[in-house]
Amino acid sequence: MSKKIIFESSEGESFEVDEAVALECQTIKNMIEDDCTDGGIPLANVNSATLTKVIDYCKKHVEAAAAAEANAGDKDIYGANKDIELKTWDEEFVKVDQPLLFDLMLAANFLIIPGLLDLTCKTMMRGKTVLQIREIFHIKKDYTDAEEAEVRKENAWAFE
Amino acid sequence: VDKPWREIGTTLSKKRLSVKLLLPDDVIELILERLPVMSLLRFKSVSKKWKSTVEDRRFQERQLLCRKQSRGPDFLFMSLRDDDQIIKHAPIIFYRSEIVYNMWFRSLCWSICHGSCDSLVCLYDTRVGVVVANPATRWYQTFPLARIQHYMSRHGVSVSPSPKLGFGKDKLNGTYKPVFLYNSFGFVLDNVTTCEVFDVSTNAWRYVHPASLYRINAYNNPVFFDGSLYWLTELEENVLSFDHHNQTFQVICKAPIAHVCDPSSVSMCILDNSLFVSENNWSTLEIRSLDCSRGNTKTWKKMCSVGLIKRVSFFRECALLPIAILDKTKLLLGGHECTHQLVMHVLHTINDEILYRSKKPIDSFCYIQSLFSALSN
Repeated sequence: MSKKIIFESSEGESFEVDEAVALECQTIKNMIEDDCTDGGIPLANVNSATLTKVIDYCKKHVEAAAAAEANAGDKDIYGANKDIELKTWDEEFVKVDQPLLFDLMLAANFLIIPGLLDLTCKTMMRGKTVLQIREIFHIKKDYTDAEEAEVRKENAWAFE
Repeated sequence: VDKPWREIGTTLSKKRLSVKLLLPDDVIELILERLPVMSLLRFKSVSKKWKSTVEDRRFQERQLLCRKQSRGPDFLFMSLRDDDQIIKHAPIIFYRSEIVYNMWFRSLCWSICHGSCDSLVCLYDTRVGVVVANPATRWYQTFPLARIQHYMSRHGVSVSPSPKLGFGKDKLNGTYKPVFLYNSFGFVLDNVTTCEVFDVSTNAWRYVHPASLYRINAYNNPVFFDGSLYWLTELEENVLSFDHHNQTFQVICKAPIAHVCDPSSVSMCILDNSLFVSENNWSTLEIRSLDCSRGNTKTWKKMCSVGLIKRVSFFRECALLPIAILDKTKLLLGGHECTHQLVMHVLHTINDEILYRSKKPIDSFCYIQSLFSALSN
């Protein structure tokens, strides 16, 4: 029977997870090493919906790592076979609305889950135009039209 | 004041949305540093603030680090031989598993330093001088001809092999420096070797005294690693280093080879932060690494020998060079200037596979995209 860790969301809801799953979060890992996880870990800035997703992500990645170890001999010459399934899972995982994606990103940053942080950041920005970016981040255009055209021209090939 | 409950709910959720999305600058930077260079160049037109972030050196350093950690190196292929003799476009191809994309970089240069330093590459030619370029941003800067390049172009001298340029960085002050080291014989110069370093502060080349006391293997391309450039010496076959900060030469150890009949069959490379020497004996490639773990007693460890029989064609190509070790079990082999292929060899087996074959000779090396330019120090 593996050790359990209890997370408490901002709404005060408790989530019990295996220690191995919690270890995916660098912040929690440090706390476990310092032996200060008794009585649960309160996460005042992570709500229940986000925490549920974060735990899903960690679980999946712990399972995938275990499976990869068991089938280490199975890899193709690029060593990439097994990653494809996980990659597809990741892609499905981040098909959520923009606010939840932001929450996930902030949680990944706070809990230090490098893989999830990378995934959410990239998903947020992927395929976005400059206009969409301004909309998402509520950024007011501070360029004049001429200035903007100039900056675009400098990097015209990146827009191709 | 007495709004229906549902309406309050929506205002609240709307408010939450906008409050949430007004992210602090450090969180914005956190997102941005995870993006590929091409996206960042596009997002410079989002706002003045974003532009200055992307152009900030510290941000650029974090972006490089992030990229290194999250995905490891890409492979950069450069081909400098093109049909257009007047203005050559070097197709630059980034390669990482399934993604290959081409870029065209305008240059007149026929030669390239092997390997990149902080994602910058260095090209050179007696007509152009020295060009430092960032293939990912297409930034480049041209430096004037070195004295040896002047001499060669003025006197129409062509020597084979022609002097090779090294490119590296002073670790302490962060300046990038192209370095020529060549055997003086043949160029009517006095000393055994001559060394020229480009000085950014004076925008001119200057001689380094004393240069190497040993003649160098002129076929070798110097390699850069951790603040120093490395060459192999001729005959004695020592490993010679040039510290970019102190500007001094030093023989650091014996090379693991002696009295090679064909000096062009030996080359150096950097894999996994160690210096390697590879020797191509027609049918096998012997690769040895320098073990510095015991301080001053440096020893060479044989890493592997790769059978090349399958790879030797009637029109003999240049020797394959080790480029990278992947997943600790696979060795990636490519080449410099006259190789056409990229080969993946599984260590300690006889298995290999051609990953990429080009119609033109390509130079291939490990590469990580960055936003750097040599000026932004």
